[in-house]
Amino acid sequence: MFFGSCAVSLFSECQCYDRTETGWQEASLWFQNDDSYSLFNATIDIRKNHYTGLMVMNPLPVDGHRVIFMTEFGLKVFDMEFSSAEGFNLYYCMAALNRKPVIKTLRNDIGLITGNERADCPPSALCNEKAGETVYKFKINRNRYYYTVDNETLKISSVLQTSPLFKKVRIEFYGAGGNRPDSVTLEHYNTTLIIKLAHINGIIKTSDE
Amino acid sequence: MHRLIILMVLNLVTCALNVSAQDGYVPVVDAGDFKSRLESVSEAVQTIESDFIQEKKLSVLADKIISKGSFSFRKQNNIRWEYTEPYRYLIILSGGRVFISEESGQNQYDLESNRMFREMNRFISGCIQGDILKDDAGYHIEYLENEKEYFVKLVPSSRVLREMLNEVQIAFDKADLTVTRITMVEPGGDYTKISFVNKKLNTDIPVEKFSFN
Repeated sequence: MFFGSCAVSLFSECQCYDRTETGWQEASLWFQNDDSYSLFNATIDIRKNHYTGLMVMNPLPVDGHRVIFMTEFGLKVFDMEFSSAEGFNLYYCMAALNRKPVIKTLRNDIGLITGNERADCPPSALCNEKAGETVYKFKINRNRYYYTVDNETLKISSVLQTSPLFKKVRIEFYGAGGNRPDSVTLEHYNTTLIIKLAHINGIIKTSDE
Repeated sequence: MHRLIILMVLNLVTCALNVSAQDGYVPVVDAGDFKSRLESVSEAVQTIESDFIQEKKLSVLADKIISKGSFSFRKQNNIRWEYTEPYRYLIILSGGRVFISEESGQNQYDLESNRMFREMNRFISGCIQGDILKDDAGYHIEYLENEKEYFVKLVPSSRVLREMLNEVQIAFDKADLTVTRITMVEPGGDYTKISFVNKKLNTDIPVEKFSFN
């Protein structure tokens, strides 16, 4: 009852009613069903440190993504994998960021963006609807996740992660359609951590000189 | 962040390619002579203008990621890197300061108050002017050559650095002893290669090109 009240207060313009799972099953997470890699101009601000460069999101053959963030000069900042079969694997993280709390946070954040750290359970509440959006609520352990889905495109426009009492992370997706968003903004409420992604058309070369 | 800057510098300064005997490289007989001639050329070079093509090879991708831009150098220690593709990013080191401009905004840092940026400036200049080859303590250095170029392989002495950089290589054009290619190889075999093209030496580069406006 209390948590239901919290959800209503977070989305005060929504009306809660008993869910059907159909809507959520029709909703489409970004980066799912990707058949090729995505390239983003990325900036990550962690406390007083500012990192900028390229982020590659490469779909795995089965289910999951390899995510590599590197500076403009090609220096890797981190290299991590989300696999449905193998779970999470950190291949590399530069020493300046290689701390357990930082890795845990980046895993959570990048996992939410790519849709790899998602709930397998059905939504425990569903709120509908204002401005053509539907909000689906999941509860995993102590965290709550509110996915706002555009009723027309069925794409997720935002994700809000909360603890029982506080907002933790908010992600905004911007994009007209397709499998990948045009841009993404992730921001933490309780610490300085901001991730911004802007999709770019990378220049590629398939053969050596 | 500091280590990031150091690595950025090293990436700029060195970089490597998986080069071996397949390109016909053999050890330089008189490395001292090469270093001496490189030093003479470096003293004569006042400015460098060049375009660059940067290739990033990741083992997880079949394709390479290509970035392009322009590079300018003017003695003493005025350096400008400008990425134009796939997006704009500018870094200028000049007058004891570093200026970074990107889509999200602009920032300036004082080189004197920031050891890492100071190192960055020193490394970049060292690469351009060949001073990095004097750093025998920082790297194990191997000198190779073929018909067209000298090829210098640098293996970092620091274990911490080797965890990120397996090897760094610099190719010098035998015709004018300028840097034609810098490549950095990571432990897993991924690499970044920066090739300098359309080089112009000792042209008149206005000092305004290194201003922070």
